[in-house]
Amino acid sequence: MWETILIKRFSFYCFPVFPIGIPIKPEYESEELIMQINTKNFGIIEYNPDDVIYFEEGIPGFEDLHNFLIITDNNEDMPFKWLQSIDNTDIAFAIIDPRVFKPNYTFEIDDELIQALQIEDINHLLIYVIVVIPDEIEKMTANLKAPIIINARNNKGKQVILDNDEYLIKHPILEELKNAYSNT
Amino acid sequence: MLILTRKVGQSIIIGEDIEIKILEIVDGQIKLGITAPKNISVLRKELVEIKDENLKAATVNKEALSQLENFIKKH
Repeated sequence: MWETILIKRFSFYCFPVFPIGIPIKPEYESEELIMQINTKNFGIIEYNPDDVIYFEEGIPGFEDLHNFLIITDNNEDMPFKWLQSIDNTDIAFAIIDPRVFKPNYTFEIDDELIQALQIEDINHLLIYVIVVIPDEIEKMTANLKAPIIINARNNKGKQVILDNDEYLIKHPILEELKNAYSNT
Repeated sequence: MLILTRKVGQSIIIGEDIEIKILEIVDGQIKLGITAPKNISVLRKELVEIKDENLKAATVNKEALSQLENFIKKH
């Protein structure tokens, strides 16, 4: 299941973006093992333990949170997903694949990351950046300096700090998102 | 800001027990060796900034969610 979705996903570098991760109201077959959490933002979420993404070091500022789910909206137009903590169900981050609005987003994958996530093939990687949504939604920014990298093969994740001065911690995304949409 | 010039192999001492030594300079990158007591936290500045940004990002509320959805629908 994962693999077919992944192949689909990576054959489109820009748009359209297929939702990956698990829907908010998944329909599982009854014999599968289902877990449940009650989240602040999304209510009760059922998930399969195989879908849990493990961040060995947590993420900066949340070093104690190791287990996360990626939640997608059922709305396919929604380019944002949610990185929901299982360990603290109040915590969820809005995330987006930066290539949605910045198709040429790239970075080097160093040996440390290869070891940490046991990367065998870079096509297994999911790349997201964390979005800050302020009260004035027009001012939302994405942290391009510190992407979340997930190896979909083993569901290990890590937030990496890039050694690249071009990418900002507070990168305004509104204009680029609009452009990305108007080009499709 | 105090500005000092140092060469590879030289160090500076801060207080009584913190030493910062220039180990190597290659292609504009400087490798520092830091000796400090265990209770002193040494972090790359970016890490502190990323922490702050993550803390801000984690406080998403429901209102922002629905706003965001409406926003996407509009555009």
